[in-house]
Amino acid sequence: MAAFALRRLGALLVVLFFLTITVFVLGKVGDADPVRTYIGVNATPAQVAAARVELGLDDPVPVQFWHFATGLVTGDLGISLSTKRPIADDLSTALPATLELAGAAIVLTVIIGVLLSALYSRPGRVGAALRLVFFSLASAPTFLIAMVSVLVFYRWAGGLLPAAGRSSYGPYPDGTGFYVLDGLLHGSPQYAWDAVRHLVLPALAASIGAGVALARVLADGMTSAMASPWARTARSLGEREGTILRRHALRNASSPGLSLLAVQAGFMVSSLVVIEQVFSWKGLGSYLSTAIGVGDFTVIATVCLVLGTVYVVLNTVTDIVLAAVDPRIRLS
Amino acid sequence: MNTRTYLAAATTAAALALTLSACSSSPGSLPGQSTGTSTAADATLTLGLTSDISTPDPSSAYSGSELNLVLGAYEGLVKYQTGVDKAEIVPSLATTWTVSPDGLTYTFTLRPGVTFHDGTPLTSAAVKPSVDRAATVGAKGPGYMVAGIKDITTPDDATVVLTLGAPNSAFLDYLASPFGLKLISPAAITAHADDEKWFATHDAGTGPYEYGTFDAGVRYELTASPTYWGTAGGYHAIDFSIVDSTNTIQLQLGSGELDGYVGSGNKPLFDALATTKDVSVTRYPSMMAPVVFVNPGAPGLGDQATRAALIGGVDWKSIVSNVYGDLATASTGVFPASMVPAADNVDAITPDAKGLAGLATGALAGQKITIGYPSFVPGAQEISDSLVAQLNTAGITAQSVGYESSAYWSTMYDPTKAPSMTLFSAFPDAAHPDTWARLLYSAKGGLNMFGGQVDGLDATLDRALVTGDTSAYAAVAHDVSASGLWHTLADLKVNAAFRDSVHGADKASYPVLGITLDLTKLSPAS
Repeated sequence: MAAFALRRLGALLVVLFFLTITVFVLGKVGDADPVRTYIGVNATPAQVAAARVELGLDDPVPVQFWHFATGLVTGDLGISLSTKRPIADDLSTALPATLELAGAAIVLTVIIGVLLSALYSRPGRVGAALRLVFFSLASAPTFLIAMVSVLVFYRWAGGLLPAAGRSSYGPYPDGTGFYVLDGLLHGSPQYAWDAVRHLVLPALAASIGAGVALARVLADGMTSAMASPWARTARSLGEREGTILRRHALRNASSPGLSLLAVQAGFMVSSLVVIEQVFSWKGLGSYLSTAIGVGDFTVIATVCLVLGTVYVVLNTVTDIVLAAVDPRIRLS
Repeated sequence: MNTRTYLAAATTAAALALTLSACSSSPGSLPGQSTGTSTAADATLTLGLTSDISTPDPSSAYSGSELNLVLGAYEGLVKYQTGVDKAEIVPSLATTWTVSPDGLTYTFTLRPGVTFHDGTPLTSAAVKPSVDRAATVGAKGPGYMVAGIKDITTPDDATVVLTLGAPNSAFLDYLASPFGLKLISPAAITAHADDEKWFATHDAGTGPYEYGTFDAGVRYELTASPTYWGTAGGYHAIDFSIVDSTNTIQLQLGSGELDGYVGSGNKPLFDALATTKDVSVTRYPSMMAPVVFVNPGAPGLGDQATRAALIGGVDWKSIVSNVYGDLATASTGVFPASMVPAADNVDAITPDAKGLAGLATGALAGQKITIGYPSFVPGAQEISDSLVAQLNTAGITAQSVGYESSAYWSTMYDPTKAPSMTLFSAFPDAAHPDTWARLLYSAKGGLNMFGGQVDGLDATLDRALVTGDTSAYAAVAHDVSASGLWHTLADLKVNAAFRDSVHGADKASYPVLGITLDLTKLSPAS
């Protein structure tokens, strides 16, 4: 497994190299002038020219690439033109925010997928009605689910769940940036619970579509497994249906489910832009969205690299888990 | 999965929820808790912002949204009166001032009994370090406002004399501007010199509030200064909360989670807020105005007569009415209405509804007019689309193209890519007409996007700045308008919405930008 992980790490470096070049070229061929965002729209041409020199925007493209690449290696990514804060500082808060939300969404996806999978294959009219509901949920745009959930749980339910933000108390100065974890580490269940409450709606909005898709894959897999010869053999040996389902069918059906989950998780991290906007969740998506609007190339490129890394790591972890769950799969 | 499994899962979930609920009664250590007394909770004002703010450095703040933090913590020698339509300069840290007959020497008497938040007493010695820092750190932005100061003398602790290198009739407006000089504790300047990072999160001013906890991108807190010299506001703390979604702003204002929101021209949002229970919408005067720019380098628009016929042929009043409703009043001159007397601020182009038809078969026959609008400016697309509709109806081929921020700025200043026309909601740096004219119409103006030029304009502006002869701006208004290069559409108000529990909101706004507030004017109803 160590050799496999090392090979994937090598592949990750290659992916990141080409991703860097691609994003950089796209950033340079696109029409973007972030200077007025940096110094204000009323700046004079002389002030704009001075700022371009200060930011290195007038340097030859290879020089700009060199500065960007060395900045990536040394961790000195420079200043965000929109927030005017060091990009590394912004990332240190945005990345944990997105990973915490994505993690919660993945957990919810699994819960929704497993719970709904049993209902999905239910026969008769009830099953058909349930499938219609599931299809509707899966096909609804994420932003619609997000906005409806805010209406239901914030407005109509009298503020049962928060509509925006990550915490009612702000971050711990010495925290990890993962608020639920920070609450537990600081011995404050109140803080952790508050963070969980803030997580519920955005995570739910991000996970419903993926959860329904997972449910369908699991349901198909379990239906096939329960009809297989070995299931029949298990029944003839006196095993109960529930035991066969848990010990054998679910495990056999989990491989395609895990593969789907890996793909969904990868997309989920990069598709949280909308969710983060609706819930004012200050993660990578929100950060990227602002940067794209003002043409802040360094931020755009850096966030793309981070998302690319997360995607590759997630898939590597999935492959390892798949091999652990299903002995027929070998890491190679 | 059978019934027992579901029951087990449900029981586990319920137990977990109960456990967490029980745990929630023991707070443990919490971050970001105010150090205030028991009144803190109900004396905190929470204001929503729809985008993150830039660094609130008193010497370089030049964007807009961060100014409410700066103006809460810092003060200048003079300021503009709040709650009035027309800008009026009133005392702040200077109680009185005189200007020498030659317009070069400004003598200020400082307010007694003022201390900076770090405990340093305010004396005349504090002025020079603040001016020097504004000139250097603010060089990329508002530093020009103090660049004309040639000498600073301090006859005594309560008197400071600023001597200009050349007379400048806008100088007091520069000092009163929200972007203008703020006095900073000289001890803080000595200790932190050019450390912009320190000034981004700490303050050393004399204002009614001090910088509190900043959760970057999420929440910025001001806490009441215990040493403030004046009448403090009614709030112990003021939180600026970043909420990206305007829908959420509306919901949170309705629920009371937010106490107020000061926005721009987002008409649908404020129409909805006007009907929200316990929320009232206020309209603040401002000098913000949407301006149409005509590109003299675009095909067919190089001729002044063609541009004048184009400007004169469009029914701007209907566009303003349809897009802004009662949030705006159609302009009658190129300057914001409250900046220059109405008699001096008169458009030179007479409206002529038949002008467009003449252009369609004449100068603009076979030409395509492209209107590039900034998609990030509220109302810009509606204006552009309405304009396109009028032109197409008259037989002039026109199209509307939207640009995101970075693409907009890279396109408008590039003669090879610039469209035929554009529009932008501009605001001056101060209430003086020179700041407006120089920004938009001067050859070196920051917002003169198509590089339009009016013969002799810069010389006229320079003369008026020296002599203070405000009647010169009548000629500027005429010449600029007659050129057909620019057309000011409307005088915009700024929408704000506050919970009814907030008192004083209607008188809290400074008049230039509209979005900046004197936070001491706000107090809780109870």
